[in-house]
Amino acid sequence: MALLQISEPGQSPAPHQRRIAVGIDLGTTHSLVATVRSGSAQTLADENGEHLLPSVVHYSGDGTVLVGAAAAEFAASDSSNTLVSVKRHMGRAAGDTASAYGSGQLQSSSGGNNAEGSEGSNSAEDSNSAEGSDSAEGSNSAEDSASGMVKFETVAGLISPVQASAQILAALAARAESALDGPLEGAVITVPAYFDDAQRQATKDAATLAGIKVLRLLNEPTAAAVAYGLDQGAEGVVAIYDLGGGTFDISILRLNRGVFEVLATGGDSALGGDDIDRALADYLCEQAGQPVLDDLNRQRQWLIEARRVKEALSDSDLVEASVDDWRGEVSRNQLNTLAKPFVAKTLRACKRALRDAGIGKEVAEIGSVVLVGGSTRMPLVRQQVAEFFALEPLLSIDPDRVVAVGAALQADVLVGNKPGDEMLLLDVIPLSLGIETMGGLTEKIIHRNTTIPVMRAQEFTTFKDGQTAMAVHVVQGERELVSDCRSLARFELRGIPPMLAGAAKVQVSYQVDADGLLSVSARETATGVEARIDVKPSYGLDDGEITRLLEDSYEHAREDMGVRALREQQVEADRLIEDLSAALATQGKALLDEDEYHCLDVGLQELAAVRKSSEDHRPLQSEIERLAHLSETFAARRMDAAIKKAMTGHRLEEFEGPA
Amino acid sequence: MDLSSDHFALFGLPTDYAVDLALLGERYRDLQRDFHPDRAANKSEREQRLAVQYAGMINAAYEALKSPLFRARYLLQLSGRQDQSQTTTIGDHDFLFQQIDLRERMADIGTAPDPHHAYSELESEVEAKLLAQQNLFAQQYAAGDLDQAEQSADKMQFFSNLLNQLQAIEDTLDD
Amino acid sequence: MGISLTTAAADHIQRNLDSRGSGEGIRLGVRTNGCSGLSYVFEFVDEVDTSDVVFESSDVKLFIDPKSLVYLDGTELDFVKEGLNEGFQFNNPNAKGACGCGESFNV
Repeated sequence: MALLQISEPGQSPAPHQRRIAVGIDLGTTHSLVATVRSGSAQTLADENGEHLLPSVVHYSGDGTVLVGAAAAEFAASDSSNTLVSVKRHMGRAAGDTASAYGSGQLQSSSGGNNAEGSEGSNSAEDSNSAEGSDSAEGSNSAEDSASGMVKFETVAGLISPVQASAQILAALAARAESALDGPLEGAVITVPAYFDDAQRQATKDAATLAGIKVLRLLNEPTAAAVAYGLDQGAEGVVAIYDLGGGTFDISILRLNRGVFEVLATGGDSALGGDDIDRALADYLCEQAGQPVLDDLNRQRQWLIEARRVKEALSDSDLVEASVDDWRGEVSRNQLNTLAKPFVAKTLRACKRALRDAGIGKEVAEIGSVVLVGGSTRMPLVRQQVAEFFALEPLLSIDPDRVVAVGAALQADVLVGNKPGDEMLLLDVIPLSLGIETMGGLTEKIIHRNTTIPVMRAQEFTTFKDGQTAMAVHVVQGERELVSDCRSLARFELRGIPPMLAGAAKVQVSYQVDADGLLSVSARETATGVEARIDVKPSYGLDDGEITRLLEDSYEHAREDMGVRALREQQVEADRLIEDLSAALATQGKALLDEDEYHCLDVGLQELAAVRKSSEDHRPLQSEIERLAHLSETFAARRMDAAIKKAMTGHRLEEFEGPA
Repeated sequence: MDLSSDHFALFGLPTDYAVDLALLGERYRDLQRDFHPDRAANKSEREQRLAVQYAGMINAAYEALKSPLFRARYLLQLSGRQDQSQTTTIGDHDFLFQQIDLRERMADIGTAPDPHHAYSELESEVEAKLLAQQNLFAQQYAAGDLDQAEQSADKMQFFSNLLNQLQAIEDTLDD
Repeated sequence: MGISLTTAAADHIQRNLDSRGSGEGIRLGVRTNGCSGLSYVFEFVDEVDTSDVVFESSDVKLFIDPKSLVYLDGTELDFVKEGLNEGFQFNNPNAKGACGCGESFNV
């Protein structure tokens, strides 16, 4: 029996029409899920009343996978099969995140996981002599099938951070479905603002693996601003200082009548409270006269004690520490000395973000500072941040929960539970996107802090007669040299018509969507031929690998996949039918001629018929595509009409001004 | 519809170098309120893709008008001037010597007794010169002297590049 | 007769009104749709309709349009927890049958 929730005026859902959407904070040390119920956003607890799910996954030989507190119990006793802080490794290669503790089971997947599904059809012959294409063509099937992302060696085999994150997401989704008594429509998943494209893509892949539809990837500081902004009706410039377990973000936003405009963002996606834990663990080992530890279980033991001591020092000046039979004391001053270099690093990033936001010298313009993330509980952090911004930071919302709460508020809007809501988030791309040019230099295509979505086009030309392919290497970062930036992907443009050198002009278009994810397309402009693009993500999972993982997953048996695919297509069909019928009714006569109108009207009826009868997703999918294609012109005309209307509105205002 | 055809019309603003930035921002937000992909999140995939494109074009138009340098370039483009900033050379010798001097001082920041002070001093100076050049551009453009205006835009580009490089240097001062 | 609230329901409504920051009270009503014919309307009230019938129970104002009152008279509104799930439940003496989900009913 379904329980009712209070709706906004006029928004009581019809039976079975409740749209359940959640916000998920997928954190380094712990994760949360939140939703809007009866008008207010709240985090959801598990059976034991715990809101925080430790981001820990334990694998055992018999195939059992534990997530959360149950998994954390194995952290010290069976550390090689217990994955912690996997967020640090999302979209990363093995060398990127090497650290003294907790990385003992790290293993690059290259060569380790290449037996299955290698495509091997990437023939080099048809792409002759493209500029700089040597490296791309040198790729063999082993590299094709195995992404460069780090993997962990466990008794259950090699596990990627994406798979471990999927387990955490699935556990939270299950909690939400049980608490909300219905299937999840979708989720807003938060990521550090400073996450690059590979890290974002990895997060989205994890959701796909967990069977969750991502409504939006939302930057954590923006989510926090939403939680505070809607709570307290704030206006003006806000700084969000977000220090979590493994990541640091600083974002500067301007709030204006429900619009959250991110002015600048900065940070470090591998800096957080974990670093302070490690520094303290090193200090404790030194005090105890311990030699450098190479045993993973022993390392974890000292690390767990270090974290406990650090947290206790937020409330006391002196805390006792003990590991095995060693006993010692740590003072808050001692912890502050150890933590200070890390905090100083965050403040330098704050200074940069202020400058990028165009308010570098006017710190007074900042109306409020919001603290997010468990690490901001440290008195040292609070005091230094207050000093830097000359403001007492806001702490009224639990810093552990504020991100999930903000994500839930946006999920509620995106899923359509609050039509007419004024809230809008305008976010930015955190790191510049560029391509490799001659001599290993980067040429920036889209600069950091550009508002998304954003599109840029660039024209390339062939440099050899008859050249039919070209290689483009896309990187992300601020440095001049390609080798100092993060490699995102290599694109092979193929199928360029053979022409004289310089005659073929290839226009490459880059698009970063509202999730901050990049896509690329290319067209030969002289002949209009679409050049084909082969994408090879540098540190991600390719589509084939995701499909394989999905098929392998015991949670998604094949028949489930079929049912799910059909349901997805049915939802898509219903949306298209609803959108198009409404549009035809209101604007069809004005924007279409008789034939066009008739054609779409018939198409609608045909799709509705297939929607009703089809029990396989494929015919439905092709019918959707057919109608969507037919209605493209109409959709574009409607957008144009809306833009024109908006523009005319402004002109009218002008005329109404003082005569 | 090609939204890039006239950014000023899109925001309902007069085609002029002087722009009311507050008004521009307000109209930009009004447009995004209607066209941002978040507004289409519950619609069909095609509508969502279309929304990404329109929102992207609105963002591009906003960026072109918001920045004094881009706005100058855009006005020149509307007046039929091709952007030749990549190939153009500046014949003004005094300006070139000034640039060389500024660049030498920039190179010395790292070894100055107080690098932060040296940085902010040079930054203020370049910012003031950029502002003066913008004012000059406004006069030249208003007078219809497009040749001179184009030269001013090129000089603005120099100062703007210099500021970017200065900031890159500042980023390395503390690390 | 009329409409009544359990203490748990009143507490939760008050808490939701507080966290929302605005609203005169709660609207209860029915409308015709759903698998068993009628479904509930359960919403915050920002603008009061002059024809509304108003009940007050534990300091919470309940607004009901006269047409709906026929179907709701004698109803008790409760707030319950079922495992992780929590929400409101109508104990409606007029409802003769309900679909399995409880979201719609007939009289």
